[in-house]
Amino acid sequence: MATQILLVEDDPAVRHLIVQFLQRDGADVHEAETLEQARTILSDRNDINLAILDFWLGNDNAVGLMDDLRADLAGLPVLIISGGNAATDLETTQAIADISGAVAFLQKPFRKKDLLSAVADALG
Amino acid sequence: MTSANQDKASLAAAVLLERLIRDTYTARHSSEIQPLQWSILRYLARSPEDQRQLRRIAPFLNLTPSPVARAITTLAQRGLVTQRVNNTDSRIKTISLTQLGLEALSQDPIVDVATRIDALPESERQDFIRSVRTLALGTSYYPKPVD
Repeated sequence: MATQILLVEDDPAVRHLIVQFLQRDGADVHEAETLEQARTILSDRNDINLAILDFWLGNDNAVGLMDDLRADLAGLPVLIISGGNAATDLETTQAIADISGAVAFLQKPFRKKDLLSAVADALG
Repeated sequence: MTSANQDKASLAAAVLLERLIRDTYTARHSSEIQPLQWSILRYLARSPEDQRQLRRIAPFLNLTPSPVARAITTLAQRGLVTQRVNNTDSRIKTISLTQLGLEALSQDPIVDVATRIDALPESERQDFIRSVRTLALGTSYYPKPVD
C-alpha cells in the first residue's frame, strides 16, 4: 500500500513541485493550502503516515496543528519545511519546530533527494 | 503580587536569561570558538551536504554572508571544518565538519544550558520550554492577569 502523506504548503508552485517529487516516489499525497484544510483531511482519514508542514503559513504557523497532532496522533511523524519569514529567522524556526515535535527540518529551497531522504528517515 | 512587582519580576527573569547564556559561554572559555562559530558548527552537524554552503548558512542564521564567511575561514584554519569546491560550480564551496569539529561539538556550551533545563522537574521543564517557544513566536497567548 502506498505511503499516505499530508502536505500543507501555501505556495501553489512549491506545493505542486513537492507533490510531484513524492508521487514519483510512489506516495499518495493529500494536499492542503491552509491549516483548516489540513485538519479536514486529518478528520476524514485515519491512514496518514507522515505530515509535511510548511511552518509559516501566511499570518499563521504550524505550532497549533503540531501540538494537536502530538496530543491526538502521537505516532504521526511531522517533517517541517521552511524558508523562514520576515520576522523570524530559520534558526529560530527550526528550534521552535524541534520543541513542537518535528522529526526533521528542511530549509527551503531543497533538492528532491534531500526531501525523499528526510521522508524515508521519518518513516523509519 | 502587584503590577509593579510583576513587571520587576519579568525584567529580572530577562536579566537572568541573559546572564545564563552569557555566563555559559564565558565559563567554557570559548574565546577559542565564538557563539557564531558554534551556530555554524551546529548547522553543519544537522544539514545535508547540499545545504552546507555559505549561501544557505548565512540566511539560516539571519546574517549577511561576510561575517559568516569570516567565521567559516577561522573554523577552517583551526581544522574544525573543511571547504570543498563544488564539482559543478566552482564558485560554490561545500563546508563539512572534520572529526575535530565533531569532537568540538561535544563540548558545545549550549549543551550545558540544555542539561540544566533537562534537570528541572518535568512539569517545570515543560512549562519553561513552552514559554520559551511562546516568546520566540512573538505572540502573547496568555492575557496579563488583572489586579
